[in-house]
Amino acid sequence: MTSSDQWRCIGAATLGEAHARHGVPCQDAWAWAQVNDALLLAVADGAGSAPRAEVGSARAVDAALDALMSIHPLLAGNLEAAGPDAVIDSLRQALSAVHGALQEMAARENAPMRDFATTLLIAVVTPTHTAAAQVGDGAIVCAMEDASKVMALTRPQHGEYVNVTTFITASDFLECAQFCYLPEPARHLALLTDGLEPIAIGYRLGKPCDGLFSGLFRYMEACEEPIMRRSLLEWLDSERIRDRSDDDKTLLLASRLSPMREEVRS
Amino acid sequence: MTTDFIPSAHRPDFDRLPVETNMEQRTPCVLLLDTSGSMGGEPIAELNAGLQVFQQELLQDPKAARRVEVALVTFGERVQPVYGEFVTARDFQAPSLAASGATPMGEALSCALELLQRRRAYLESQGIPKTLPWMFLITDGAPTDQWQHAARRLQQATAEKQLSFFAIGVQGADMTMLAQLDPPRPPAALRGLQFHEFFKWLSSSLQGASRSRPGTAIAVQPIDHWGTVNT
Repeated sequence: MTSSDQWRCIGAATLGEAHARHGVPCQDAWAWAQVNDALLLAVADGAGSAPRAEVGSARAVDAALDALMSIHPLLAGNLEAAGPDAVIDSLRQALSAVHGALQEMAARENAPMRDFATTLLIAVVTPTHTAAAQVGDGAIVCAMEDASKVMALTRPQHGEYVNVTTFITASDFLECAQFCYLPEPARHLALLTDGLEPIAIGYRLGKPCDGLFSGLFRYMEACEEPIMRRSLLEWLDSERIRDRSDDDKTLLLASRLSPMREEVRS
Repeated sequence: MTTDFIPSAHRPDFDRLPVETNMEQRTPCVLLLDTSGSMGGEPIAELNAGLQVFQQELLQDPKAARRVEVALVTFGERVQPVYGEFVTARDFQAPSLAASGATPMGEALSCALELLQRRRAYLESQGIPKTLPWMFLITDGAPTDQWQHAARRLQQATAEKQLSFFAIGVQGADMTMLAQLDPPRPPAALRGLQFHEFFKWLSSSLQGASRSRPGTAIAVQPIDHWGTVNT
């Protein structure tokens, strides 16, 4: 990956049937940025029970990108020397920064932090590595050069019951966080909120649906962006998908358009 | 599972993408129904009519019909799980219950706790997500067997968030004793024989629970005209 590497990022969020029925806005948010050599991705899913979850999730993804940009030197720096621990530590710092930003916002608005409860998923790809962190449910899935080899960076994280999860706004967010580090750059990534879990993750083994993600990644490589963007939204909102999940659904896809070539890297 | 297809550069065909066929999330509900002799006559007739309403209401909601699963345990002449195990609302057939015998509430509670224990283990082994199970006990009397041991198991289970428990007393029920089953939540008193209203309320609460999403606190709906709670 060079600084001229182009990433295609396509996000789509649809309002779940359950929310539409109750007049609740879509509480998911997503954002991405490409900064020099690094691709930064964030997705947040506001808690249905929190009165201002949509504000919380929007603030969370903004704060996440801000934080990742400010610790970017470490993320993109000499990682061979820094090692996985340093990368995971920077992700931890980023999560803490987001927690802090939400804390400030709650204080400013004179409201309890739980009013803004949201999950948070973040991912970073640099020329040398892929790293991800997650608090709460949803999942981060990736593939390297071969789009058919799908792997999970993080997994849905709820307790015994589907209605219990953890949030970046909770005081124990760091203990509940998942981290993942791979010493190679991903070619494709997908960040999804829990509304997509019923169709995207096999509950039995907690593994992502290979065929679905490899298909999505191939479309990302092959299809033109406006068409891809529209088709993705239509699909998320289709009867076939809505019938299986009535929650808000957000999917952020990122694919590097040029394959990695050793000679370009140096 | 992998797909080997080359997408057209212009028209992605999302409908060709495979998706997981997970089992639907479940909302388990156990009903413990007093069918002792004192329920004879109008009370058991109203209870049976209420169960019919329950069946119809849940069937009208396709999502709830797939996700809500019900187990019935009656206690009177004997303690009996009506269907053996849980059935999804879609397959639920309201029984026609007859009233006779004593009130073996302790045995019924133990039976219901075991049913639920088995169900939780099964759902967990299959990776099927669920909402917090609910257990409702409806009685018009007082236990005629030892209930303290079962109550301790119940209290432990609710404390460990294995289930939420609700006791409902029909006129003549020993409310003081019912209050001791799971002290954090006081029992509700059924107004008259408003089983019809109660089951409408219960199916509506279950419909809500069956749609609950991660992060949502699921609670039964506020008790409406069917009953009262003295706290």
